[in-house]
Amino acid sequence: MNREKRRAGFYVLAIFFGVFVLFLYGPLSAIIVLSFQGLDGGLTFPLNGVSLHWFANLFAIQAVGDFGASFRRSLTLGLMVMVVTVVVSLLAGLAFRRRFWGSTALFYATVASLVVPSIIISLGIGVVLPGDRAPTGLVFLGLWRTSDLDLAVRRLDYVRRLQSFPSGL
Amino acid sequence: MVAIDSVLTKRNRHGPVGARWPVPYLQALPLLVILGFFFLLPIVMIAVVSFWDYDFSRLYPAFQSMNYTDTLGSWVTWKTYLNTLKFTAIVWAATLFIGFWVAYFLAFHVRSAVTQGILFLVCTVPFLTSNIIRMIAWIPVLGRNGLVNTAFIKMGLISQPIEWLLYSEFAVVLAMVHLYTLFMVTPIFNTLMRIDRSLLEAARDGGANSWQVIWNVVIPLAKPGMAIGTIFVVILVMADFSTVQVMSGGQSASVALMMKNQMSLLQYPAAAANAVVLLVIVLLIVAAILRVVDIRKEL
Repeated sequence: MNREKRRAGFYVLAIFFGVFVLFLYGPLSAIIVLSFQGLDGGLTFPLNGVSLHWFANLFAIQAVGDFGASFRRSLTLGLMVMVVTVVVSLLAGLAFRRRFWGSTALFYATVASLVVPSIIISLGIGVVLPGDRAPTGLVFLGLWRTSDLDLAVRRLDYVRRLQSFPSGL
Repeated sequence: MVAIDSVLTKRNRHGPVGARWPVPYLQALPLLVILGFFFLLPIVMIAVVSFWDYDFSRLYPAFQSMNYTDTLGSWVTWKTYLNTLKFTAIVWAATLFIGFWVAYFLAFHVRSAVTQGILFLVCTVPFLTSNIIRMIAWIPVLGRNGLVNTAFIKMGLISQPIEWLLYSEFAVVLAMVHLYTLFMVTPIFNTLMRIDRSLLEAARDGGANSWQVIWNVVIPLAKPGMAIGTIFVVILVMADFSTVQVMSGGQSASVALMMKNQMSLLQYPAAAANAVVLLVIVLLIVAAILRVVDIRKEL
């Protein structure tokens, strides 16, 4: 911009920005530090010794939850969603390069899907595909157990959200 | 370059040479299927189910307004809706204020594009972690023996730990501002970057001081970005249940949390009636924003 000397406003805003960054990172760094908490410490400061106990605990076999399996599921889910998103968005983006019958309606439906709160969609999907009634009719989602199905569907919600960007360009 | 672009788009709009008619339909089909199954169908089903009857174990197809009269006739529901709107208003005001000044600093005070990019990235990185992690991260900071309380006691500012820092409405608002400010920063930053810098110079040459430049030039031109950020934040806050549940420790309610509780009790029609009311409110707010600000240029 201009090469004149920094004015007072700059310093005020720079401090404001610094505080904002501190606000963003402060709690996260607290959590990272606390993850090295000693054996008999909790989620509070000061640290009760330093250890890797909680990390070891995470990868050990536990009564509730299985970190490795959950992690693999998340990763697979992420990959599936990525592939579906890229393919569908790319195709839709190509389609929107031309005008076709219903293109405006489809475009507005895509934008509207961004505007509707996710809990409403989750509820609707819960009504359409009740979790305790196994036959879903959706073969590609049927690969997943019903509990994962819900997650997969919610991810698809993100798919919809992401789609409006390529088509909007 | 711009001329060539516009010629290309114009030709594409009217169908480029060699494109057969089914091609765009086939390309749009996956999107149509996904929107149909995961957007339109659920919404239609919610509207239908909101008129159904139910008991503790199943739903009965019917056409009755009981779900609406039940939910709208209870003062608990009204209080919950008002509470949600209160959270929305406070979080909106806070994120708009913070978001505008952060974006303004990045766009106008940071001089090199590289620094701008780095600083923007610095703001973005925390948003790559999940909402839950960022929420839980506040607990050791705000808790009874948390960082803030310990620091204040050590400094001698207070003798007893402050109780309302965690598991309170304050905590809910703080966490929401923390979670959602980026959704305000990004669109505002985008619009600010598109403002022609010569307009600011012209205003300054015309004798405007910095405040007048901000108030009369920057803010009016930043309105589309503010509107998009506002829509994002309003929707996110109105649909939020996890932040309210975790950060208020169950002492506060929001419409989405009420819906979630109804869903876990299998009272789908009651939740559906709430969903319809919530959807209407959200759409009215969005429509009101779009009436005031024209965001079409930003899409």
